[in-house]
Amino acid sequence: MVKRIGVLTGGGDCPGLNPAIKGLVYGARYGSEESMEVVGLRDGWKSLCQPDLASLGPAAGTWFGADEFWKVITPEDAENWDAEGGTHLGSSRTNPYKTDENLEQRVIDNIAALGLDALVAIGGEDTLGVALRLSRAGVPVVGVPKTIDRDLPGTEYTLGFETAVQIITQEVDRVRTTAGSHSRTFIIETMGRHAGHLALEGGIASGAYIVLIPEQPFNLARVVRLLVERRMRGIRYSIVVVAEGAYPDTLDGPFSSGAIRDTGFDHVALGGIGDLLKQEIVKATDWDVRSVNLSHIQRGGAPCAYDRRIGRQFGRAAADLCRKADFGKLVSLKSGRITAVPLGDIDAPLYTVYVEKQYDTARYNATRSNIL
Amino acid sequence: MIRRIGILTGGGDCPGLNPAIKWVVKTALDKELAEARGTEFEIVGLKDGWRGLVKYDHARHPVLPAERAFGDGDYARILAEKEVRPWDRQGGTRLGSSRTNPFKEGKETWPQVMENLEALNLEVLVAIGGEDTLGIASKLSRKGANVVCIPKTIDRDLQGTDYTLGFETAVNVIVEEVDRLRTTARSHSRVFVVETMGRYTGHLALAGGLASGASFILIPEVPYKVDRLVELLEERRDEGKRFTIIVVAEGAVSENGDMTQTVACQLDGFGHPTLGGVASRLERLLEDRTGLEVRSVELSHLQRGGVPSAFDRRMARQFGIAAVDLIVRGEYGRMVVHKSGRVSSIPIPTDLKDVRKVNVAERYDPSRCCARLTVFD
Repeated sequence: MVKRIGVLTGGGDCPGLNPAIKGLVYGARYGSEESMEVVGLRDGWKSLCQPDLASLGPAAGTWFGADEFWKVITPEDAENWDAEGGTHLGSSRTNPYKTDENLEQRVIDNIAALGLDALVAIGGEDTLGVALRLSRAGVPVVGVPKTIDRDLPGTEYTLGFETAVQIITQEVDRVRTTAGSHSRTFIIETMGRHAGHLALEGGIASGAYIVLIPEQPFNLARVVRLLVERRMRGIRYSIVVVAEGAYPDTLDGPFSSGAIRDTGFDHVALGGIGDLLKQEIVKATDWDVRSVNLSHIQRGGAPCAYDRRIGRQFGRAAADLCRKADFGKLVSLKSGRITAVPLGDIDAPLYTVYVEKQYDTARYNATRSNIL
Repeated sequence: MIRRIGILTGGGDCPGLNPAIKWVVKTALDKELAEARGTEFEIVGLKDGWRGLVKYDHARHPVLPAERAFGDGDYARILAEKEVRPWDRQGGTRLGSSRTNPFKEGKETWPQVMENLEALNLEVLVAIGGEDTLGIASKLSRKGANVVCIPKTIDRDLQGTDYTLGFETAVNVIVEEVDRLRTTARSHSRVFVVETMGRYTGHLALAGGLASGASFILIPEVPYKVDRLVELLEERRDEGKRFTIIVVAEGAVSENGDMTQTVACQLDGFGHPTLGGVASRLERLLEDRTGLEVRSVELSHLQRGGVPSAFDRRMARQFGIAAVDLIVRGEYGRMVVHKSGRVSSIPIPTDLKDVRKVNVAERYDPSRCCARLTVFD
């Protein structure tokens, strides 16, 4: 019988992680007569990669000290977490399966030493990829999906997405008044490495004129032509939303202004396409064009109502799966309902924008009919 | 031939109406789509819901051209793309709304509505509204009018659809207001009773309470027991919790079955009483019984105000586009819906009065007075 659940959050933070932890803690304690205890693990997989993790806790004070890596999280601790962004457990990009050093056995030993009967991993493709490998090695794991990119296969929703779209919308609302006042064209760069969901839905919600996504390399001359056409119609300004992973058809892949490598999972840091686009539009038109990179603002602040609700529900669902010892599962939203799918589903190709149905490649924006 | 579409918004306003109007207009008037469809549209905006179609006077105040504001006596004007462009950022409805009921007993005005649909040369009417507005649309449809419906209500209790415009923005408002109340509740060790809208259903209170982390949530579907609330509050006090947030739906009923209604109770055109006052009632009751400091806040119309959230803007766009798709295909007498995570359409339900209630067994824990803590059985 499952009595003790470990929980960790890994990869980039986002609003919705804390509500999910709260949901798990409350679900574990109060979801049934047989209550379960939740142990919070500090900084993602980094905690489970520590030599002799058991000696690095429990955190003595009300919160983790510098060398403390685990602590029992009570409902009292988590009571107000659902209103808070980021993750109180901390995060890291530590990868136990890094090519030069495989720490799988240490992770398994640490889980045993802490007396954990189950492990809940809240994360994106990297964190859940590790969870899947551990699951295949026999560790009782449940995954909870998060990423503001909403591109994980196996689920229609990932925590953080709705708050990020809401932030893009609010920032574009602000940019609009200054764009209109100065007759300027604004380029807004959003996150979204491989998938354009965030840019496309952010662009739809904020009423952007053009949205550029990684799935469809864009033709610069056409972007300029669309902008000029609009100005000819007497509209003073334009908003262009561009995903960080979008690129012009003259390049072979995403543009990166600096090739800074991410530790652990070997990602190239993207970014800079907004500035590049701005320079090119200025060259072609001689207009006043500005670019704004929303960057980490999209992951900051308090979660919106949707992420708080889904976060709580995902956490409760994870507690239910642990109670039933139904491991190797990913909590998921499918057809508008919360369900669980095999964790192995994350091995499928990333879920990207379905260009043929959702994107108008002539206008560079979302389609305006579902029947044509 | 240019086909003419009329559009109106009725009932209580909410964020999401303007973006829906914008996208009906933009999609219908889009030149490239017009070419692909082989048909051209013109849109007539009708002022103040059904009142506009009752009062429209074709001889004295014919349809205004585009970009002319409604004056006294004007009830119809052409809507142009340029004008509606910024509407998706705006709350409320730029067309105005009313609670006029053309089927009110003894004061039937629906024949005028039918006449005016013809005088205005409207091939089809897009009605954006809740149970009342769409109920009228349904009746007119049975009398032969071509209508397409878009559902809105912050209560999210319409039959046939999982989403209605305005709901998500309202939940966000509840969350933001409770975030504010939490800091003052904690500072003063107080209990706050927060009253939400929702009429006879608890969807809004439940989602708002869940999202805002309220300790207790009271919904109309499950009569509340004051004794049990007192017990739960005392439990929290004994555990050393400094404050408590209770979210209560305006239509929540006590175990004796009485629904609190504001003293000077007015009935609107559809015979609905004004609800409200349950929070202040609970404030007195709970303070007397527990000795704790209890304060109540009625969120009231704040829940319907302000700019639409990103969710409502996107959903309104999808609903607007879907409504035009239905018109292009000549599928009239239908309501656009969001079902199982997808936008689709159904025949306008004839039992709209019969609102969709919270599935208590699946979603609510009557003994702890909050949302259920388990998702899977």
